[in-house]
Amino acid sequence: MGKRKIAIVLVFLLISLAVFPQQKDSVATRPVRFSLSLGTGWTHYIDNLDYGNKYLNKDFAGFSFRFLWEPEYRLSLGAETGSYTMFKVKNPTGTVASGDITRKVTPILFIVRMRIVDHFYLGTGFGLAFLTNTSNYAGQKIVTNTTSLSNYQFSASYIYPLSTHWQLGCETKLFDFGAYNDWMYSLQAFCAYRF
Amino acid sequence: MMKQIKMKNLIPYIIAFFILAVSCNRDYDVPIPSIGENSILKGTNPLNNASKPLMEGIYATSATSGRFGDTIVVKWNRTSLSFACYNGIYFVMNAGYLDSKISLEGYWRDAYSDGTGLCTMTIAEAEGGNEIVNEISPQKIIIRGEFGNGEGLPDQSLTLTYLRSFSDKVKNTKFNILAHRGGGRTSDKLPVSENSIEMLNFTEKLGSTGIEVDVRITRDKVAFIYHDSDINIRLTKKGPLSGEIKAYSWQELSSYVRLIHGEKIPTLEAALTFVVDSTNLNAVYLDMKEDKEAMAVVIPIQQKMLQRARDKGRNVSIVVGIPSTNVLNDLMNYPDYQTIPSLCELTVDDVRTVNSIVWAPRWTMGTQNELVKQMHAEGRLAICWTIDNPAWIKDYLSNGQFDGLLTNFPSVVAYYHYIQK
Repeated sequence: MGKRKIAIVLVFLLISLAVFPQQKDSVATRPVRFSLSLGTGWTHYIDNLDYGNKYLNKDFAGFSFRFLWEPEYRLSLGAETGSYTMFKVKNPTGTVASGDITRKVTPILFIVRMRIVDHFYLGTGFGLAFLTNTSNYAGQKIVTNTTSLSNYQFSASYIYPLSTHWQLGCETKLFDFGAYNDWMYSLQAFCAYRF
Repeated sequence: MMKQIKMKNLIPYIIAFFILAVSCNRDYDVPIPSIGENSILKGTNPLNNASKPLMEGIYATSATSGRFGDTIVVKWNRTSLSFACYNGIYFVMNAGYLDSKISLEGYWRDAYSDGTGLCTMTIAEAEGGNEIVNEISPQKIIIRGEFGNGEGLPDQSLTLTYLRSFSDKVKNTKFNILAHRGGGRTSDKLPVSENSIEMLNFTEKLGSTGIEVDVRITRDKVAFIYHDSDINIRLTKKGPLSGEIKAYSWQELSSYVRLIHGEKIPTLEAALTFVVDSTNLNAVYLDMKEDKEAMAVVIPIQQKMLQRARDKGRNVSIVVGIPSTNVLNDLMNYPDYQTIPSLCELTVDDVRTVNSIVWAPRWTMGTQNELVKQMHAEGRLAICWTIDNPAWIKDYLSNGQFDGLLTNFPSVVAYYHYIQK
């Protein structure tokens, strides 16, 4: 992901924070119990490859989708999924292993989110992740899939309620995918609808 | 009004959760301790080959801690002197002499745990050193020295007193001590990776006389040795490839995959060439992990390497393994399959069908002495797999009639084999 794309994401975040007036999220105007949110933003793979990372691209755009049950003022439970590209190794033509290798992940996590102070939330999640490796080498495309059983997510969110139902926010997340000990963090803007 | 939860109260839980998340990473490193610049072998001369067998035999042990048992088996391998104990502890020692004093230096390791330490010993001139150096059978041998723990210098007394040579039964029997996964498992925290050239070079130090290797085939039909069906961080360094290993070409594996200690995955041909050219190993069991048209790839390599061994005057047995009915069928699709040296893990009837030269039942089936006798009567060998528990190893050696045992702990099999009367 180029610097230009990262800048666009950050500008989008800043505009969203500036345009919409801040409201006190601690005052519930009507009972809302569930929310759906859609987020997108920058992801960065924390390179802990021991080998084969000479031509490693680590920055990409990612997407997430989250459903939360918000039974009370402080605590929310739910599920989250998404689609992220972790890395791409693109060996230049002429090297011994010219071609590219891409690893993507789709996590399906159980999420617990807790409000710490007004607008600020911390969350954690655990669950499954489906890793897909795509290798293009010598004109052949090889796709392999791995299910990772031990995966974690930690998140910190800043949420601005626009109305009773609509929220905008930004969120930073840290992922640990256990199958290959992959670490990744993400900075996302998201929009949520509460009902 | 709800009481506000303070952030500082949550921090210990967050830290604990984080530690839990990252604590599952395995550590496969047990460093070999080194004495470094204080080596007692400095300035010594290597022992002559004729001197080495004079040191071999059964020794009484006197250690301050008693951790090595009452007796130790002392046996030379291609590169070093090995001591094997009843409980899985083994020593890898290098030797040299100066005048008529023999110095030994190396390390001990517990095969079943992370225990390790340095060891330095000597054979004084009057306690066997003079005769051994001069290639004369000694009247007595006493090896005196110390051992330590971890990286610490040796500080606990250890004395080995020669009791007897190996029995005629041991000397006159060709018994196969077959080491699993190319000579040793990565999970047993050995200094080199399983199924690597480096492991083939190392395993004789553990007492192995033969090996089992796991044979897989790449997408472009290159046979290589690797145990698991997938690329994982248990066996390999973390790299960009993941998933089923046979999906990739040899060039991809060669470029992007390194074993856990940094070695390249070897092709089957490279591994067998190393065994034939550079080791004293005399048996190789090719454990076929693929069952579709794999024999057509592997058998020509087997035949080529058998010929290479004959050309070099080496008596190496290389057998293709038959662990399943599918592999059996794959072999039976090969022309003249009954002439292919094979090892069959299935029934004795299957052994006869493909004319395997070795029958290899699972150890949990028992010693099966009657069937073993039948195999022997038909001119076949019988080898039992994969037996790791010292008590069972002792029992199978005492009460069984197998021609060898496949094990993850060859030093234990070596101890109970060589100590037989």
